[in-house]
Amino acid sequence: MEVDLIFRVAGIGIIVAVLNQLLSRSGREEQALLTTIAGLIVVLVIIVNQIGDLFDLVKEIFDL
Amino acid sequence: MNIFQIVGIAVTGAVFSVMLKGYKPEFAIFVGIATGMLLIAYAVSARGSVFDMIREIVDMSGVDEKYFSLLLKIIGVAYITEFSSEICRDAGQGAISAKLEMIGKLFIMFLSMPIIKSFLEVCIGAVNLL
Repeated sequence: MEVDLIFRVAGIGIIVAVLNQLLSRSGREEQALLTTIAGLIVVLVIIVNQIGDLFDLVKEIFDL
Repeated sequence: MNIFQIVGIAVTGAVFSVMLKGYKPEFAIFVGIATGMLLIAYAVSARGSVFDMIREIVDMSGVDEKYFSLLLKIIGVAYITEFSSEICRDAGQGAISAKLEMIGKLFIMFLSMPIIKSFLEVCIGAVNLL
């Protein structure tokens, strides 16, 4: 739950965007789509883990 | 973390989100979620000490403990519901966020039902005395 979470997610987003452009320009639309999906999955896993930690924190503090 | 760090985090998150929106809108939403999560995590952890102090005051005043803990629960539910409904609205899904807010209100109503019932019993008791 540190600041580098934002930079990690933004970095992955930028990389996927660049790769997507690269692949689609060179005619490989399928690989571009697969790269986007892979990037989405990676970021989703990171975000879901962090959301789990956040909800545990809230549950512990508000003793829900 | 003082206020400047918080503002810095929020602004960088917003800038990254806007930057990514042009190429990959999905990742813009993820950056928004990450930033929102960091800010809520800080707000919740900073709020913990305030609640302990309030708890001491409530104990001193002799009010029943369960009212305050119920209030805490309601605040927690409100926090989470608002956090997730704003994310849905940010992603452009106004309908989903409206449904989420409605469910949040229902849940808070459900939580506060016993208090309402006990309050009404007190009122009825008072009325019968007249």
